[in-house]
Amino acid sequence: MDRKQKTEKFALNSILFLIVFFLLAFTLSSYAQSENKVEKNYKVKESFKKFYKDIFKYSTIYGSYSESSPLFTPESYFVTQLGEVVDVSPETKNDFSVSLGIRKIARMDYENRENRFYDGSEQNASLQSNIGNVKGLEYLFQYTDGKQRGRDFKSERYLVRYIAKWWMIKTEVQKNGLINLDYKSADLRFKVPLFKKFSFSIGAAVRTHLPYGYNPIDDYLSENNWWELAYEYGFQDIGYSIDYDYDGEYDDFDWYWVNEQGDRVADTDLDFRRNDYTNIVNDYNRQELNSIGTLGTLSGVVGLDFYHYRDNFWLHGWTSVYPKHKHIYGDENFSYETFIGSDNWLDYNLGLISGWNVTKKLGVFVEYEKTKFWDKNLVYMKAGLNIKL
Amino acid sequence: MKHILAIILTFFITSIAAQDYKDQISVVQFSAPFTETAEISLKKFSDHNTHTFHITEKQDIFKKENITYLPTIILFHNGKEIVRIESGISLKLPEDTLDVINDHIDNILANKF
Repeated sequence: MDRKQKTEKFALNSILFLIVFFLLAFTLSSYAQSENKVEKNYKVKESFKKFYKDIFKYSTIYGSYSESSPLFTPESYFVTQLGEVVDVSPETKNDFSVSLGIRKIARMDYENRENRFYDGSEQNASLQSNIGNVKGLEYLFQYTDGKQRGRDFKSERYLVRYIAKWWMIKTEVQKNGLINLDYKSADLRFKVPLFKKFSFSIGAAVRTHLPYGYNPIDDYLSENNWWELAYEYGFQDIGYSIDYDYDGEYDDFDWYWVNEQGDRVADTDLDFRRNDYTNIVNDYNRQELNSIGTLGTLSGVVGLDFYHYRDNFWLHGWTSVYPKHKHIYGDENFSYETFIGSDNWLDYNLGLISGWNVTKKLGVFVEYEKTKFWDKNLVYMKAGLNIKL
Repeated sequence: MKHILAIILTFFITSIAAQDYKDQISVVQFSAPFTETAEISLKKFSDHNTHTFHITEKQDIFKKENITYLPTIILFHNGKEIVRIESGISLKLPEDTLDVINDHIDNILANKF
Protein backbone atom coordinates (compact mmCIF):
# COMPACT_ATOMS: atom_id res chain seq x y z
CA MET A 1 0.00 0.00 0.00
CA ASP A 2 1.61 3.28 -1.10
CA ARG A 3 1.53 6.62 0.64
CA LYS A 4 -1.41 7.91 -1.43
CA GLN A 5 -3.52 4.88 -0.63
CA LYS A 6 -2.64 5.11 3.03
CA THR A 7 -3.67 8.77 3.03
CA GLU A 8 -6.96 7.95 1.31
CA LYS A 9 -7.67 5.11 3.71
CA PHE A 10 -6.88 7.39 6.63
CA ALA A 11 -9.20 10.07 5.19
CA LEU A 12 -12.08 7.61 4.84
CA ASN A 13 -11.60 6.24 8.33
CA SER A 14 -11.50 9.81 9.63
CA ILE A 15 -14.81 10.62 7.90
CA LEU A 16 -16.45 7.54 9.40
CA PHE A 17 -14.99 8.35 12.80
CA LEU A 18 -16.27 11.93 12.59
CA ILE A 19 -19.76 10.76 11.67
CA VAL A 20 -19.86 8.46 14.68
CA PHE A 21 -18.35 11.16 16.87
CA PHE A 22 -20.92 13.77 15.81
CA LEU A 23 -23.68 11.23 16.25
CA LEU A 24 -22.64 10.67 19.84
CA ALA A 25 -21.97 14.36 20.37
CA PHE A 26 -25.44 15.18 19.06
CA THR A 27 -26.99 12.78 21.52
CA LEU A 28 -24.88 14.19 24.32
CA SER A 29 -25.72 17.78 23.41
CA SER A 30 -29.43 17.05 23.56
CA TYR A 31 -28.89 16.32 27.23
CA ALA A 32 -26.51 19.20 27.80
CA GLN A 33 -29.00 21.70 26.35
CA SER A 34 -31.50 20.90 29.03
CA GLU A 35 -28.96 21.79 31.69
CA ASN A 36 -28.81 25.12 33.40
CA LYS A 37 -25.25 26.02 34.41
CA VAL A 38 -26.32 27.19 37.83
CA GLU A 39 -28.15 24.02 38.62
CA LYS A 40 -26.65 21.77 41.18
CA ASN A 41 -23.97 19.26 40.26
CA TYR A 42 -26.15 16.32 40.92
CA LYS A 43 -28.36 17.29 38.00
CA VAL A 44 -25.35 17.13 35.70
CA LYS A 45 -24.55 13.73 37.11
CA GLU A 46 -28.11 12.63 36.55
CA SER A 47 -27.92 13.83 32.98
CA PHE A 48 -24.75 11.85 32.30
CA LYS A 49 -26.28 8.87 34.04
CA LYS A 50 -29.23 9.10 31.68
CA PHE A 51 -26.89 9.51 28.72
CA TYR A 52 -24.95 6.43 29.80
CA LYS A 53 -28.21 4.56 30.27
CA ASP A 54 -29.50 5.49 26.83
CA ILE A 55 -26.27 4.33 25.22
CA PHE A 56 -25.95 1.03 27.03
CA LYS A 57 -29.46 0.10 28.18
CA TYR A 58 -30.60 -3.11 26.45
CA SER A 59 -27.10 -3.72 25.11
CA THR A 60 -25.40 -7.10 25.52
CA ILE A 61 -21.72 -7.83 25.78
CA TYR A 62 -21.05 -11.33 24.56
CA GLY A 63 -18.26 -13.76 23.95
CA SER A 64 -18.58 -17.22 22.49
CA TYR A 65 -16.55 -20.17 21.30
CA SER A 66 -17.99 -22.74 18.92
CA GLU A 67 -16.48 -25.86 17.43
CA SER A 68 -17.95 -28.38 15.03
CA SER A 69 -16.92 -31.23 12.80
CA PRO A 70 -16.03 -30.09 9.28
CA LEU A 71 -18.11 -30.96 6.24
CA PHE A 72 -17.53 -34.46 4.91
CA THR A 73 -14.66 -34.66 2.42
CA PRO A 74 -14.36 -37.83 0.36
CA GLU A 75 -11.09 -39.70 0.76
CA SER A 76 -8.58 -39.34 -2.08
CA TYR A 77 -5.87 -41.80 -3.04
CA PHE A 78 -2.90 -41.59 -5.36
CA VAL A 79 -1.38 -44.67 -6.94
CA THR A 80 2.36 -44.41 -7.66
CA GLN A 81 4.11 -45.83 -10.68
CA LEU A 82 5.16 -48.78 -8.48
CA GLY A 83 1.55 -49.50 -7.50
CA GLU A 84 1.71 -48.09 -3.99
CA VAL A 85 -1.46 -46.48 -2.71
CA VAL A 86 -0.95 -43.16 -0.97
CA ASP A 87 -3.77 -41.56 1.01
CA VAL A 88 -3.81 -37.93 -0.11
CA SER A 89 -7.09 -36.99 1.57
CA PRO A 90 -6.85 -33.45 2.91
CA GLU A 91 -6.36 -33.33 6.67
CA THR A 92 -9.56 -32.20 8.28
CA LYS A 93 -9.66 -30.44 11.60
CA ASN A 94 -12.71 -29.18 13.40
CA ASP A 95 -14.11 -25.81 12.37
CA PHE A 96 -14.13 -23.29 15.18
CA SER A 97 -14.77 -19.64 15.84
CA VAL A 98 -14.31 -17.22 18.70
CA SER A 99 -16.52 -14.14 18.79
CA LEU A 100 -16.43 -11.11 21.01
CA GLY A 101 -18.83 -8.24 20.77
CA ILE A 102 -21.29 -5.78 22.13
CA ARG A 103 -24.67 -5.26 20.53
CA LYS A 104 -27.78 -3.24 20.87
CA ILE A 105 -29.90 -4.16 17.88
CA ALA A 106 -33.65 -4.47 18.17
CA ARG A 107 -35.14 -7.51 16.48
CA MET A 108 -38.20 -6.99 14.34
CA ASP A 109 -41.31 -8.52 15.92
CA TYR A 110 -41.34 -11.42 13.48
CA GLU A 111 -37.74 -12.34 14.24
CA ASN A 112 -37.46 -15.02 16.86
CA ARG A 113 -34.52 -14.93 19.11
CA GLU A 114 -33.09 -18.25 18.02
CA ASN A 115 -30.88 -18.75 21.03
CA ARG A 116 -31.21 -17.57 24.56
CA PHE A 117 -27.70 -16.23 24.22
CA TYR A 118 -26.02 -14.16 21.57
CA ASP A 119 -23.09 -15.94 19.95
CA GLY A 120 -22.20 -13.66 17.06
CA SER A 121 -23.98 -15.67 14.35
CA GLU A 122 -27.18 -13.60 14.41
CA GLN A 123 -28.57 -12.08 11.24
CA ASN A 124 -31.04 -9.22 11.59
CA ALA A 125 -33.28 -8.28 8.69
CA SER A 126 -33.84 -4.87 10.19
CA LEU A 127 -30.25 -3.89 9.48
CA GLN A 128 -30.93 -3.81 5.73
CA SER A 129 -34.14 -1.92 6.15
CA ASN A 130 -34.40 1.83 6.73
CA ILE A 131 -36.71 1.44 9.68
CA GLY A 132 -35.96 -0.30 12.93
CA ASN A 133 -38.17 -1.75 15.59
CA VAL A 134 -37.16 1.02 17.96
CA LYS A 135 -36.13 4.61 17.47
CA GLY A 136 -32.79 5.88 18.68
CA LEU A 137 -29.33 4.42 18.84
CA GLU A 138 -28.47 0.88 17.82
CA TYR A 139 -25.04 -0.59 17.36
CA LEU A 140 -23.02 -3.72 16.85
CA PHE A 141 -19.29 -4.18 17.38
CA GLN A 142 -18.11 -7.70 16.72
CA TYR A 143 -14.82 -9.45 16.14
CA THR A 144 -14.58 -13.10 15.10
CA ASP A 145 -11.54 -15.28 14.64
CA GLY A 146 -11.65 -18.89 13.55
CA LYS A 147 -11.19 -21.63 11.02
CA GLN A 148 -13.71 -22.95 8.54
CA ARG A 149 -13.21 -25.62 5.90
CA GLY A 150 -9.52 -25.59 6.65
CA ARG A 151 -9.18 -21.84 6.17
CA ASP A 152 -8.24 -19.44 8.91
CA PHE A 153 -10.34 -16.32 8.87
CA LYS A 154 -10.97 -13.11 10.73
CA SER A 155 -14.11 -11.14 10.53
CA GLU A 156 -15.02 -7.73 11.88
CA ARG A 157 -18.31 -5.93 11.83
CA TYR A 158 -18.92 -2.48 13.25
CA LEU A 159 -22.26 -0.80 12.83
CA VAL A 160 -23.82 2.29 14.35
CA ARG A 161 -27.33 3.39 13.42
CA TYR A 162 -29.46 6.18 14.76
CA ILE A 163 -33.07 6.38 13.67
CA ALA A 164 -35.11 9.47 14.49
CA LYS A 165 -38.54 10.38 13.25
CA TRP A 166 -37.30 12.63 10.44
CA TRP A 167 -33.80 11.36 9.75
CA MET A 168 -31.49 8.41 10.09
CA ILE A 169 -27.78 7.76 9.88
CA LYS A 170 -25.99 4.48 9.49
CA THR A 171 -22.29 3.74 9.34
CA GLU A 172 -20.93 0.30 8.80
CA VAL A 173 -17.57 -1.41 8.48
CA GLN A 174 -17.46 -5.05 7.41
CA LYS A 175 -14.40 -7.17 6.90
CA ASN A 176 -15.02 -10.83 6.30
CA GLY A 177 -12.03 -12.99 5.49
CA LEU A 178 -14.23 -15.93 4.50
CA ILE A 179 -15.86 -14.16 1.58
CA ASN A 180 -13.09 -11.60 0.95
CA LEU A 181 -15.36 -8.71 1.87
CA ASP A 182 -13.93 -5.35 2.84
CA TYR A 183 -16.71 -2.80 2.86
CA LYS A 184 -17.35 0.53 4.51
CA SER A 185 -20.41 2.69 4.18
CA ALA A 186 -22.00 5.77 5.65
CA ASP A 187 -25.62 6.59 4.89
CA LEU A 188 -27.43 9.79 5.88
CA ARG A 189 -31.10 10.21 5.02
CA PHE A 190 -34.06 12.40 5.68
CA LYS A 191 -37.26 10.49 6.33
CA VAL A 192 -40.91 11.24 5.82
CA PRO A 193 -43.43 8.91 7.47
CA LEU A 194 -46.32 8.20 5.11
CA PHE A 195 -49.72 6.82 6.12
CA LYS A 196 -48.24 5.64 9.45
CA LYS A 197 -46.83 2.42 8.02
CA PHE A 198 -44.75 3.69 5.12
CA SER A 199 -41.52 5.60 5.34
CA PHE A 200 -39.98 7.48 2.43
CA SER A 201 -36.32 8.42 2.72
CA ILE A 202 -33.88 10.36 0.61
CA GLY A 203 -30.21 11.12 1.16
CA ALA A 204 -26.68 10.18 0.25
CA ALA A 205 -24.42 7.23 0.89
CA VAL A 206 -20.68 6.75 0.69
CA ARG A 207 -19.63 3.20 -0.08
CA THR A 208 -16.15 1.79 -0.47
CA HIS A 209 -15.39 -1.12 -2.70
CA LEU A 210 -12.73 -2.98 -4.60
CA PRO A 211 -12.37 -2.24 -8.31
CA TYR A 212 -15.38 -4.00 -9.81
CA GLY A 213 -15.58 -4.89 -13.47
CA TYR A 214 -11.79 -4.94 -13.91
CA ASN A 215 -9.86 -8.16 -14.41
CA PRO A 216 -6.08 -7.49 -14.30
CA ILE A 217 -5.12 -10.75 -16.03
CA ASP A 218 -7.08 -9.68 -19.11
CA ASP A 219 -4.89 -6.60 -19.43
CA TYR A 220 -1.75 -8.61 -18.83
CA LEU A 221 -2.56 -11.23 -21.46
CA SER A 222 -3.47 -8.61 -24.03
CA GLU A 223 0.17 -7.47 -23.97
CA ASN A 224 2.09 -10.59 -22.90
CA ASN A 225 2.19 -14.32 -23.49
CA TRP A 226 0.67 -16.38 -20.73
CA TRP A 227 3.91 -18.21 -19.91
CA GLU A 228 5.73 -14.93 -19.22
CA LEU A 229 3.67 -14.52 -16.05
CA ALA A 230 4.75 -18.02 -14.97
CA TYR A 231 8.39 -17.02 -15.46
CA GLU A 232 7.79 -14.00 -13.21
CA TYR A 233 6.63 -16.41 -10.53
CA GLY A 234 9.83 -18.45 -10.79
CA PHE A 235 8.57 -21.32 -12.93
CA GLN A 236 10.49 -22.55 -15.97
CA ASP A 237 9.39 -24.59 -18.94
CA ILE A 238 11.57 -27.12 -20.66
CA GLY A 239 10.63 -28.24 -24.13
CA TYR A 240 10.64 -31.80 -25.34
CA SER A 241 9.56 -33.65 -28.45
CA ILE A 242 7.51 -36.82 -28.71
CA ASP A 243 7.87 -39.65 -31.16
CA TYR A 244 4.58 -41.48 -30.80
CA ASP A 245 5.20 -44.22 -33.36
CA TYR A 246 8.95 -44.70 -32.72
CA ASP A 247 9.76 -44.05 -36.35
CA GLY A 248 12.62 -41.74 -35.49
CA GLU A 249 10.64 -38.64 -36.39
CA TYR A 250 9.08 -36.36 -33.86
CA ASP A 251 5.28 -36.16 -34.07
CA ASP A 252 4.57 -33.61 -31.36
CA PHE A 253 6.22 -31.34 -28.86
CA ASP A 254 5.34 -29.91 -25.45
CA TRP A 255 6.88 -28.38 -22.34
CA TYR A 256 7.21 -29.67 -18.85
CA TRP A 257 7.44 -27.23 -15.97
CA VAL A 258 9.66 -26.92 -12.92
CA ASN A 259 9.30 -24.62 -9.94
CA GLU A 260 11.92 -22.37 -8.37
CA GLN A 261 13.43 -25.32 -6.50
CA GLY A 262 13.78 -27.31 -9.71
CA ASP A 263 11.00 -29.75 -8.86
CA ARG A 264 8.94 -30.93 -11.80
CA VAL A 265 5.38 -29.69 -11.21
CA ALA A 266 3.67 -30.38 -14.55
CA ASP A 267 4.32 -32.68 -17.46
CA THR A 268 2.68 -30.54 -20.13
CA ASP A 269 1.58 -26.97 -20.73
CA LEU A 270 -2.02 -28.04 -20.32
CA ASP A 271 -1.25 -29.79 -17.04
CA PHE A 272 0.52 -26.64 -15.83
CA ARG A 273 -2.31 -24.29 -16.83
CA ARG A 274 -4.89 -26.52 -15.19
CA ASN A 275 -3.09 -26.62 -11.87
CA ASP A 276 -0.28 -24.25 -10.87
CA TYR A 277 -1.18 -21.52 -13.33
CA THR A 278 -4.65 -20.94 -11.85
CA ASN A 279 -2.99 -20.11 -8.54
CA ILE A 280 -0.61 -17.77 -10.32
CA VAL A 281 -3.52 -15.97 -12.02
CA ASN A 282 -5.45 -15.67 -8.76
CA ASP A 283 -2.41 -14.34 -6.95
CA TYR A 284 -1.64 -11.89 -9.75
CA ASN A 285 -5.22 -10.59 -9.79
CA ARG A 286 -5.24 -10.23 -6.01
CA GLN A 287 -1.93 -8.36 -6.00
CA GLU A 288 -2.94 -6.05 -8.82
CA LEU A 289 -6.33 -5.28 -7.25
CA ASN A 290 -4.67 -4.66 -3.89
CA SER A 291 -2.22 -2.27 -5.52
CA ILE A 292 -5.14 -0.30 -6.94
CA GLY A 293 -6.60 -0.16 -3.46
CA THR A 294 -10.07 0.67 -2.29
CA LEU A 295 -12.32 3.01 -4.23
CA GLY A 296 -15.05 5.22 -2.85
CA THR A 297 -18.37 6.14 -4.43
CA LEU A 298 -20.82 8.79 -3.28
CA SER A 299 -24.36 7.92 -4.32
CA GLY A 300 -27.75 9.53 -4.07
CA VAL A 301 -30.22 7.19 -2.43
CA VAL A 302 -33.99 6.95 -2.25
CA GLY A 303 -35.79 4.49 -0.01
CA LEU A 304 -39.29 3.28 0.70
CA ASP A 305 -40.20 1.03 3.61
CA PHE A 306 -43.35 -0.58 4.86
CA TYR A 307 -43.90 -2.39 8.12
CA HIS A 308 -47.01 -4.03 9.54
CA TYR A 309 -47.05 -6.63 12.28
CA ARG A 310 -49.76 -8.65 13.94
CA ASP A 311 -49.32 -12.13 15.35
CA ASN A 312 -51.34 -13.67 12.54
CA PHE A 313 -49.99 -11.58 9.68
CA TRP A 314 -46.90 -9.52 9.08
CA LEU A 315 -45.42 -7.76 6.09
CA HIS A 316 -42.11 -5.94 5.99
CA GLY A 317 -40.91 -4.52 2.72
CA TRP A 318 -38.01 -2.21 1.97
CA THR A 319 -36.11 -0.82 -0.93
CA SER A 320 -33.12 1.44 -1.36
CA VAL A 321 -32.30 2.67 -4.84
CA TYR A 322 -29.01 4.35 -5.74
CA PRO A 323 -29.51 5.97 -9.15
CA LYS A 324 -26.73 8.57 -9.33
CA HIS A 325 -23.07 8.16 -8.43
CA LYS A 326 -19.82 10.04 -8.14
CA HIS A 327 -16.38 8.56 -7.77
CA ILE A 328 -14.83 10.39 -4.81
CA TYR A 329 -11.55 8.73 -4.04
CA GLY A 330 -9.11 6.09 -5.19
CA ASP A 331 -7.71 5.63 -8.67
CA GLU A 332 -10.43 6.93 -10.98
CA ASN A 333 -9.06 4.86 -13.88
CA PHE A 334 -10.43 1.79 -12.14
CA SER A 335 -13.70 3.26 -10.92
CA TYR A 336 -16.93 1.57 -11.89
CA GLU A 337 -17.97 4.88 -13.43
CA THR A 338 -15.03 4.65 -15.83
CA PHE A 339 -15.65 0.97 -16.46
CA ILE A 340 -19.23 1.42 -17.65
CA GLY A 341 -18.72 4.94 -19.01
CA SER A 342 -21.57 6.50 -17.07
CA ASP A 343 -22.39 7.81 -13.60
CA ASN A 344 -26.03 6.82 -13.54
CA TRP A 345 -26.17 3.07 -13.24
CA LEU A 346 -28.80 1.62 -10.92
CA ASP A 347 -27.77 -0.05 -7.67
CA TYR A 348 -30.42 -1.30 -5.31
CA ASN A 349 -31.31 -3.41 -2.33
CA LEU A 350 -34.84 -4.59 -1.81
CA GLY A 351 -36.50 -7.10 0.41
CA LEU A 352 -39.82 -8.52 1.46
CA ILE A 353 -40.60 -10.62 4.52
CA SER A 354 -44.10 -11.82 5.14
CA GLY A 355 -45.86 -14.46 7.17
CA TRP A 356 -49.51 -15.38 7.42
CA ASN A 357 -51.13 -17.75 9.87
CA VAL A 358 -54.07 -18.54 7.62
CA THR A 359 -55.66 -20.71 10.31
CA LYS A 360 -54.46 -21.94 13.69
CA LYS A 361 -52.90 -24.91 11.95
CA LEU A 362 -51.85 -23.52 8.59
CA GLY A 363 -49.22 -20.88 8.00
CA VAL A 364 -47.30 -19.62 4.98
CA PHE A 365 -44.20 -17.48 4.80
CA VAL A 366 -41.95 -15.85 2.24
CA GLU A 367 -38.63 -14.04 2.51
CA TYR A 368 -36.92 -12.39 -0.44
CA GLU A 369 -33.97 -10.09 -0.70
CA LYS A 370 -32.10 -8.89 -3.74
CA THR A 371 -29.02 -6.71 -3.86
CA LYS A 372 -27.40 -5.34 -6.97
CA PHE A 373 -24.31 -3.28 -6.16
CA TRP A 374 -21.97 -2.52 -9.06
CA ASP A 375 -21.64 -5.79 -10.97
CA LYS A 376 -22.47 -7.93 -7.95
CA ASN A 377 -25.88 -9.57 -7.75
CA LEU A 378 -27.03 -11.33 -4.62
CA VAL A 379 -30.38 -13.02 -4.23
CA TYR A 380 -31.84 -14.71 -1.19
CA MET A 381 -35.23 -16.35 -1.19
CA LYS A 382 -37.11 -18.58 1.18
CA ALA A 383 -40.74 -19.61 1.06
CA GLY A 384 -42.76 -22.36 2.60
CA LEU A 385 -45.74 -23.49 4.56
CA ASN A 386 -46.32 -25.10 7.95
CA ILE A 387 -49.16 -27.45 8.73
CA LYS A 388 -49.61 -28.37 12.38
CA LEU A 389 -51.24 -31.77 12.87
CA MET B 1 -58.27 -17.63 -9.44
CA LYS B 2 -59.39 -14.01 -9.62
CA HIS B 3 -61.71 -14.58 -6.66
CA ILE B 4 -58.92 -16.06 -4.57
CA LEU B 5 -56.62 -13.15 -5.38
CA ALA B 6 -59.40 -10.70 -4.56
CA ILE B 7 -60.01 -12.40 -1.20
CA ILE B 8 -56.30 -12.39 -0.34
CA LEU B 9 -55.95 -8.75 -1.40
CA THR B 10 -59.00 -7.75 0.63
CA PHE B 11 -57.61 -9.60 3.62
CA PHE B 12 -54.25 -7.84 3.32
CA ILE B 13 -55.76 -4.39 2.94
CA THR B 14 -58.22 -4.79 5.80
CA SER B 15 -55.55 -6.34 8.04
CA ILE B 16 -53.11 -3.56 7.33
CA ALA B 17 -55.55 -0.67 7.48
CA ALA B 18 -57.59 -1.78 10.45
CA GLN B 19 -56.93 -0.57 13.97
CA ASP B 20 -53.75 1.31 13.23
CA TYR B 21 -54.04 3.07 16.59
CA LYS B 22 -52.84 -0.23 18.06
CA ASP B 23 -49.69 -0.45 15.92
CA GLN B 24 -46.32 -1.24 17.46
CA ILE B 25 -46.16 0.47 20.86
CA SER B 26 -49.18 2.77 21.17
CA VAL B 27 -50.40 4.67 24.19
CA VAL B 28 -54.06 5.61 23.73
CA GLN B 29 -56.00 7.92 26.00
CA PHE B 30 -59.80 7.65 25.87
CA SER B 31 -61.49 10.74 27.14
CA ALA B 32 -64.24 13.28 26.56
CA PRO B 33 -64.50 17.06 26.47
CA PHE B 34 -65.86 17.13 30.01
CA THR B 35 -62.91 15.09 31.37
CA GLU B 36 -60.18 17.03 29.59
CA THR B 37 -58.88 18.39 32.88
CA ALA B 38 -58.33 14.86 34.13
CA GLU B 39 -56.31 13.84 31.07
CA ILE B 40 -52.57 13.39 31.38
CA SER B 41 -49.94 14.48 28.92
CA LEU B 42 -48.59 11.65 26.77
CA LYS B 43 -45.54 13.65 25.68
CA LYS B 44 -43.36 11.38 27.77
CA PHE B 45 -44.11 8.63 25.26
CA SER B 46 -43.31 10.66 22.16
CA ASP B 47 -40.84 7.98 21.01
CA HIS B 48 -43.88 5.77 20.46
CA ASN B 49 -47.35 6.23 18.97
CA THR B 50 -49.71 8.29 21.09
CA HIS B 51 -53.40 9.03 20.52
CA THR B 52 -56.08 10.84 22.47
CA PHE B 53 -59.64 10.04 21.43
CA HIS B 54 -62.76 11.83 22.57
CA ILE B 55 -65.98 9.90 22.81
CA THR B 56 -67.78 12.56 20.84
CA GLU B 57 -65.62 11.84 17.80
CA LYS B 58 -64.74 8.14 17.96
CA GLN B 59 -67.71 6.41 19.47
CA ASP B 60 -67.13 3.21 17.52
CA ILE B 61 -63.63 2.81 18.96
CA PHE B 62 -64.89 3.39 22.51
CA LYS B 63 -67.49 0.69 21.97
CA LYS B 64 -65.01 -1.71 20.42
CA GLU B 65 -62.53 -1.25 23.26
CA ASN B 66 -65.26 -1.50 25.87
CA ILE B 67 -64.41 1.79 27.57
CA THR B 68 -66.45 2.25 30.72
CA TYR B 69 -64.56 5.00 32.57
CA LEU B 70 -63.23 8.32 31.37
CA PRO B 71 -60.41 8.92 31.07
CA THR B 72 -58.91 5.51 30.40
CA ILE B 73 -55.43 4.81 29.09
CA ILE B 74 -54.57 1.62 27.23
CA LEU B 75 -51.10 0.52 26.19
CA PHE B 76 -51.17 -1.56 23.01
CA HIS B 77 -48.38 -3.56 21.44
CA ASN B 78 -48.91 -4.81 17.89
CA GLY B 79 -52.65 -4.87 18.33
CA LYS B 80 -52.67 -6.49 21.77
CA GLU B 81 -53.79 -4.73 24.91
CA ILE B 82 -50.93 -4.80 27.40
CA VAL B 83 -52.32 -2.74 30.25
CA ARG B 84 -55.45 -0.70 30.88
CA ILE B 85 -55.54 2.07 33.46
CA GLU B 86 -58.97 3.45 34.33
CA SER B 87 -59.95 6.52 36.27
CA GLY B 88 -62.89 4.83 37.98
CA ILE B 89 -65.77 6.78 39.40
CA SER B 90 -63.42 9.49 40.68
CA LEU B 91 -62.76 10.52 37.04
CA LYS B 92 -59.10 10.79 37.96
CA LEU B 93 -56.28 8.60 36.74
CA PRO B 94 -54.01 7.05 39.40
CA GLU B 95 -50.92 9.06 40.26
CA ASP B 96 -48.57 6.31 39.14
CA THR B 97 -50.18 6.00 35.71
CA LEU B 98 -47.11 7.22 33.81
CA ASP B 99 -44.78 4.96 35.81
CA VAL B 100 -46.96 1.90 35.22
CA ILE B 101 -47.09 2.52 31.49
CA ASN B 102 -43.39 3.24 31.41
CA ASP B 103 -42.59 -0.04 33.19
CA HIS B 104 -44.65 -2.00 30.69
CA ILE B 105 -43.00 -0.23 27.75
CA ASP B 106 -39.64 -1.02 29.30
CA ASN B 107 -40.55 -4.70 29.40
CA ILE B 108 -41.67 -4.67 25.79
CA LEU B 109 -38.46 -2.98 24.67
CA ALA B 110 -36.28 -5.31 26.71
CA ASN B 111 -37.82 -8.26 24.86
CA LYS B 112 -36.91 -6.78 21.51
CA PHE B 113 -33.17 -6.86 22.21
